[in-house]
Amino acid sequence: MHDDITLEIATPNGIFTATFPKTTKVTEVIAAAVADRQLAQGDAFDLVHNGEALQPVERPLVSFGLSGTVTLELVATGSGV
Amino acid sequence: MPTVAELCLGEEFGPLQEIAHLEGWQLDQRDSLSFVLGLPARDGSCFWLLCRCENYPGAPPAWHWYNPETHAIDQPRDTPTGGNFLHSSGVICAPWNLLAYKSADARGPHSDWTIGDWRANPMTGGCKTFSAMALRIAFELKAPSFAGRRG
Repeated sequence: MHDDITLEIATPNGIFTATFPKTTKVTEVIAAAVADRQLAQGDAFDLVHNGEALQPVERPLVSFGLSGTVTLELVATGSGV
Repeated sequence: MPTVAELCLGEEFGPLQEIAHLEGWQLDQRDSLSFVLGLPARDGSCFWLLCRCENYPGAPPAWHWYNPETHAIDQPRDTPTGGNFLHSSGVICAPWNLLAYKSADARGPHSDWTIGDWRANPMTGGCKTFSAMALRIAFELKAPSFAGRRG
C-alpha cells in the first residue's frame, strides 16, 4: 500500500525488516528494531538514511521523504574524544 | 580447539556478512581472527580496514586502516581524518578500538581508559558487536565531519 513504507534496517545484531505506516515516528521505528533484535534498551541509537541521521526522532517517516522500500542503518552513538 | 575469540568472531561474522551484502560493503574473512572490510566514504572513495580480534571479547578488536593492494596498515594515504572520531593521530577514537588505548598503541589518544573495561565504558554505548562497530565507522565516513585522507 502507498501508505506503508517497508524498511530494511542494518542493526548491531543483524537485519530488521518490517513494514510501517508512513506516519510512524522515527522513535517508534527505533524502539521496534531494538526490541526485535534484542538490543540493550538503555543504549542510544540513531536511525540513518544515506549518511544522515533521521532527526528529530518525533517526526514521521514520510516527513523525511521516505517511500516504498528503504534501506536504513541503526547506528549506536557514543565515541571517545 | 578454537579460542573464545575465534568462537565469537565465528558467531558474529554471519550477521556482519548479511549487513555487508545489504549495504554493498566488501567483506573478506582472512583467518579465524581477522577480516578485511571496505566501506564507502563521503567523497566517493573507499576506505579499507583490517580488523584483528586476538583477545576479543576480553579486549576490543584492533581496527587498522588498510591498503588491499600493498597489505600495509595505518598508512596516511589509507587513513581518513575528520572530527574527533577519525582522530588526527590516525586511529579510530573509541573504547571499542584497541588502538585508541595508549597502552596498546603509541598513537592511542587515551591513557585514561582500561582495556578490560571497554564494554562498560559509557562511551562504548551499543558498539559491542562487530556489526555495531562497522555501522558506526561507515556512518562516520559519510558524515559531514569527514575531511578526506591524512596523506
